[in-house]
Amino acid sequence: MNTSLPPAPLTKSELDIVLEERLSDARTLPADAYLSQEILDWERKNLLEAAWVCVGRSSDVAKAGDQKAVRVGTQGVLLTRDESGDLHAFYNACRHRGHELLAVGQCANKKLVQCPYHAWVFGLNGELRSATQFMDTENFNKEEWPLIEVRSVEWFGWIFINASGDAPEFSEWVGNLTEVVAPWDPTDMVIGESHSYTLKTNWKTVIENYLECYHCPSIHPELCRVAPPESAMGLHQTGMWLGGGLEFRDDADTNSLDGRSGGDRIAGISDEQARWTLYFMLAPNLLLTLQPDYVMTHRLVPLSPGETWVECTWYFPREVAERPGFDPSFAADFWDITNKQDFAACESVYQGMLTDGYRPGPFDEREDGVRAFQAQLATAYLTGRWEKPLQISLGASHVV
Amino acid sequence: MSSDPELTLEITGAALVADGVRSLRLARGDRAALPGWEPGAHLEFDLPNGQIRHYSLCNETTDANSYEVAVLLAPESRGGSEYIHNDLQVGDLVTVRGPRNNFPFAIGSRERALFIAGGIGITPILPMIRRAHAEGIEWSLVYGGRSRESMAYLEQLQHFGSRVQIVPQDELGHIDLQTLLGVPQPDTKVFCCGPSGLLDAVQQLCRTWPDGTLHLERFAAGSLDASVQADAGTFTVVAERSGVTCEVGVGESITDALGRAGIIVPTSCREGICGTCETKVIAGIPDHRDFLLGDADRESGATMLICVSRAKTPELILDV
Ligand code: FES
Ligand code: FES
Ligand SMILES: [Fe+2]
Repeated sequence: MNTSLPPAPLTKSELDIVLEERLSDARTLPADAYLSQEILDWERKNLLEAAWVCVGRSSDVAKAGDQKAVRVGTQGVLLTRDESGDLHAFYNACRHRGHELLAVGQCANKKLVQCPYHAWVFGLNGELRSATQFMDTENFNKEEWPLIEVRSVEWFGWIFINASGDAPEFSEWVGNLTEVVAPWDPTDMVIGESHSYTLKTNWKTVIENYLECYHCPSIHPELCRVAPPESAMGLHQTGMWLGGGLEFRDDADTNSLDGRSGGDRIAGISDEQARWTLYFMLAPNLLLTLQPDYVMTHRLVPLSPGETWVECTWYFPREVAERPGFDPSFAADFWDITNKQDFAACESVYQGMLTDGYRPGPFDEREDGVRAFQAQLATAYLTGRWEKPLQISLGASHVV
Repeated sequence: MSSDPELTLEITGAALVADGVRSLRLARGDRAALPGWEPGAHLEFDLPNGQIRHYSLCNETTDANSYEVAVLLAPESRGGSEYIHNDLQVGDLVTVRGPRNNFPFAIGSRERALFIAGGIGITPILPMIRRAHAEGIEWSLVYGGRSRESMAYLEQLQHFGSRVQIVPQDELGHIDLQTLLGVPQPDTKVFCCGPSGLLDAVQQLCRTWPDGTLHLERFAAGSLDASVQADAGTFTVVAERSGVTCEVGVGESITDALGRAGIIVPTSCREGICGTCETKVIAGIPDHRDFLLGDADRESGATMLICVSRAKTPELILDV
């Protein structure tokens, strides 16, 4: 938001039309935004690294000495947990000659961070502890060679990284989503189940699909059985997120194949909140779904223009998850079916975009969430800056 | 451990704070600020007889210009604590390294701290208590010792009222560890320092507690010092792949013993910090002396750093 980056390699006219004032005049993004490697390279630098990207759960590095290497955009980042329980994030490059401290995706638990190349060792807080057998070149001073810290925060038990160092403060980035999520308090929730999927589609189609329920009657019979798609509402946002909700049918308690819960209602939520599923897209890569008895996330990592890794995770209050005989499949089975329906649609859209006949299309009123996201992207492509998304107003405007 | 800065400090105060316990204050000659430290830290002292001793810091961490340690005159002492008790005087200079911390006060803001101290083991616990108190962390202390007269810092601790339980052995017997630790408590971390009998018993009882609950300091306060530990005992190492067996002598490292037998394991730091010599253990229980391995690796005993670590069993079979 504060630094201006070069615009993306797309033409102004094809982006301006996404931003048309009236929804009926607006058109979707051009195919190149999804197909081109050049655009993805640009997005990695200017959308992902410049944002607060969710890289996983605090419990991935739970104990003192836990270490994990992750990727944010083009950047390798090493996460560590120190002895006082504080999280640190560093560029995953040794200060000696740049070897990765841990290969991306790998975890370790050690009291120190150890470079495998020439065995330099760093504290969990990044300070150089020992330049092993380094033949002192006169004025070598250990204090001058700490690992270089990257901005990181923990929010309700999720870890976010800002690799560029110049995104707005995280509190500003999430805005009022913190208050909206607070009654669920996912901080201490535990993972009941987690699935990952590699989709043959562009990462943005997965978000766009999540932001509308116009497709629900056609492809989600199970979902429509518990929540009529016409009950959608928009939420007033002050951060980099978009969200809305679906109200349950009177005879359904939650999102499961029979509408029944296999867990407990979350302690902090109101009767009214227990009637809705709330869907949030927190830019750029986290989809967060709040339900009466559990929380679900989809975390996205673009692999190539036509390939996206999605991790879908279900979280439950600790006392529920640790109850003997607890079975998270009431939630996971329902969403696994629904995920596959959505992902098949996203992959098919990508196939359509690959044809020469793909042209930007119009938005239905129920797709103003998609349009708000695309407008956010179009603005970023034009200016190189993340802006807050447009307000959306699906159905009755309703603030949780 | 040449990596820590070496400091020459002046003794600026000394006092007998309990039977057989002498406290020393140290400062720079010019009284300038000293390197900062966190609760649980200790200093390494070079004594004139060539011995090395470790003593925990027990003053306020905010006290920027001086360090305080308390030293027990150990009856079985090989001269270290005797020198500190009888020979060192205010105005004398000593060489120390550190502060270092192998016993950090690692606790979450919503967790409770249970401190267990035996005798001179109270020294690293004191700064932890002050920290817990300042940060509003729930805590309690059980402090055992031979007799009230032998237990240092009782007066300061009594200010904390019922959070502190004093157990002088001549009045109340041993600390009732079974009641204290028999049932795992949720969200509680245990910090323990004292004689090895106490530490072993606490470690045993904490087996059923969640991973990462127990934090203890073995050679704190000079009651047991690293140099004694590091030299203790001989054992046999079988180099499985090479088909060679050798004896590891007192004061000798496994890498040196293997080297004598013609098996070269690459090393870099030779002080258990860099991980170069990490070796798979096929059988036997390692006695880890390194600064690198995490708790899970340490417990599993699947690998060890053979430049410093030793054996708890008479024989170790290694994958070399
Ligand atoms: S690159 Fe890390 S020690 Fe040389
Ligand atoms: S050689 Fe560095 S840990 Fe053994
Ligand atoms: Fe869907």
